[in-house]
Amino acid sequence: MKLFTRESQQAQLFDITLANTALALRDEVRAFLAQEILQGSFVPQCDAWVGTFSPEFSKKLGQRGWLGMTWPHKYGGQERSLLERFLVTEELLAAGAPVGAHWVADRQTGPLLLRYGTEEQRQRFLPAIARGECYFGIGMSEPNAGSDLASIQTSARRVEGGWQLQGRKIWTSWAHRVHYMLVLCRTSPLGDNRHAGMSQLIVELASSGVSTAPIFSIDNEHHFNEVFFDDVFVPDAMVLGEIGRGWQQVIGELAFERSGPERLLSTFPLLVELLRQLGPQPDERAAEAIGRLVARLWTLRRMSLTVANLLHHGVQPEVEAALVKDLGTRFEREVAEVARTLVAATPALDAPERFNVLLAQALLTAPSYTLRGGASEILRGIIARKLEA
Amino acid sequence: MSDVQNLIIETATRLFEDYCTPEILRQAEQGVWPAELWTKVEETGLPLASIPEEAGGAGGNLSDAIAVLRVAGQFGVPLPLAETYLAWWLAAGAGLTLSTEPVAVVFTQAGTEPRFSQQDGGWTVSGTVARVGWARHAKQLLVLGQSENGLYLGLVQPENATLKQGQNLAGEPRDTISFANAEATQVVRAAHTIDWVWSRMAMLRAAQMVGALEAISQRTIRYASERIQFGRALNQFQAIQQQLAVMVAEVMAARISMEAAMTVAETSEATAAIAAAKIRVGEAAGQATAIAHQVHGAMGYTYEYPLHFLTKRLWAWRDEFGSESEWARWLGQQVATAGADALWPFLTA
Repeated sequence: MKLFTRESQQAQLFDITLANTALALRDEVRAFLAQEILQGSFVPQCDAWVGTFSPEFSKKLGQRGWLGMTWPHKYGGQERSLLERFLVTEELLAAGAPVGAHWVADRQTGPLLLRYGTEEQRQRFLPAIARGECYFGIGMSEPNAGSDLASIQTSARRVEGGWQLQGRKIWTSWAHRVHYMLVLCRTSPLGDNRHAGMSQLIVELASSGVSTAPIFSIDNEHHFNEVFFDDVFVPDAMVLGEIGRGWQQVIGELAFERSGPERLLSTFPLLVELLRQLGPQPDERAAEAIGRLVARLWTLRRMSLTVANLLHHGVQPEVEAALVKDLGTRFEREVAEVARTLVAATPALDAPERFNVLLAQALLTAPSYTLRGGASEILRGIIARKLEA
Repeated sequence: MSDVQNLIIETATRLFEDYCTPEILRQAEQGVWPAELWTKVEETGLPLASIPEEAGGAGGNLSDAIAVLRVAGQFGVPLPLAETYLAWWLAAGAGLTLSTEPVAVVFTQAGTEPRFSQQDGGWTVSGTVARVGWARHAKQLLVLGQSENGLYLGLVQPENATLKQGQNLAGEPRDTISFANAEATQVVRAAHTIDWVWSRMAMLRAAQMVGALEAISQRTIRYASERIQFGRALNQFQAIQQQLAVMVAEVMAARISMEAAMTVAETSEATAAIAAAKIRVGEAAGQATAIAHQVHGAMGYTYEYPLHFLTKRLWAWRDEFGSESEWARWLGQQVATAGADALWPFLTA
């Protein structure tokens, strides 16, 4: 296959010239973020899209129409383009803003509901997500199903009026605070085709039989959880899409998850602070290191934008998304490694210096970049299998 | 991509498939001028793409020249195509007339340019310039030098210059040219700066490199699907798959950075974008050539197997008109001068 290109070679697929309306929108977001920082509403931080949870901030974005941006008006959306959504998202990420609460719902659950949800489900969830009031968790991984997602064991059996869910999920960020989880489970036993017989259920986390247990990550922070389902009743109205088509649906969900600017900007606040530390006249070694990082990021952003544009035109860029994520997440980690060689500073989360704190955040979260949303080795396997001689 | 550009790419691909054979590449490394290939290329008008019609060119814009160079890079075409485009742009800008015969552009970075002087109503030029591309095969030397009134451009006949042969890693001529009061004709004020020339050549080399990267990547993917060891094709081994994926990602990054630089090449952001592209393409060249050779095993290390014609060019080209380090120091300094808060606006400009 030809990557970042398509047989049709339609110029519009690659024309990422941004319209004036999009640029005006960007200015608006920049002004908003500058004001928020000035008012002390948040302090820029690394990996904020995973490590923060601020319903207050999410609601502010919802009020401005910056959540569910691409969805139809009737579902609370703004009918903006995917490129415009990309612009807003990257502004929020570059500023290290606290976007964790609504992140999953806005990025992947919403689009999935639009595509596979019933009218009732759309009406119920989408406007609330777009207002920044309704949050979702991801329900894919299990203790024995990480990279090998098809080996999940959580299952649901048919009961009167719905499904009885049994099993557990792991690595669900903010399961102790979000409202719902989209759970991938087996609805028929494992057969010859291991990708068949799976379904996605929307589970209200306040339901009887659901419990969560915290998992602390190496920075001793708690956003991950293990979630247990002990005979949880899920009504038919909460089945997403078709019973038995869960695998196909989840693959589409992953495409939204992999290609975005959050796969290159997790440590951007550190890069900005690094420049501040180096000042206007860095020595040659520092200048070279900065120049290389900037060249890589400049390129990565254009790659990510190109993928967004392919999505915008209805193309499923599975391989390109995998490729951007592999390169982007390696870059994110590298920022931290380069930063510590250029500035003599002790990384510490409780340091008074902003640089030291951001460096500590980056170092402590970096191992997760190349794992979450598909480990790099798995992504490279996806890429390699699609290469044609 | 326009229909015209698709036609250019098809024409160039067909032509190079037929006439730029491994034998031609071997001979070129020995210093043989591929006369038939040059004639064929000239007949198609490819060297005049992007040159304004009023200057005797075929019209079109930079992206047409880039398209040609990318295809030429895929084949390692041993001809001064990039240098010809540069010569014609300079000539067109200054109102100077070139013949369609092979031309070499004699210039260096600011500070050590040749000097033009006016004597008895005529012009002469003096100075030495190292690593001039393809000079020994040129029938006309287009010289960029300083005069009392700034940067000037003039033509010198090759017989009025002293030439010392040199070559790059791939055996492409990179000769040293010296002038001692050599007679120069059509001496006019240059319409471009040395910095413009330097970055423009970096842009063109990046385009050639992207072509070469695409070709070594394709060749390596094919080889890994054909070569059988332990009863399986190489591409069935996860260790090889990982390598192929990394290589492809590097090639894509190179391509996207080059194309992004191309789209802003006529704007005020051109130099920074070209710097970023030359850095990223050069980094990709380092990684992709290493993987291509590793996957090919000992076979790819032989002179017989044609991989080296492209990998050697990539190693040579990444250092021409600014290596990754040189451009990175420049770009890093620009970014630092602009300040931390200007970084994001720069990246998203």
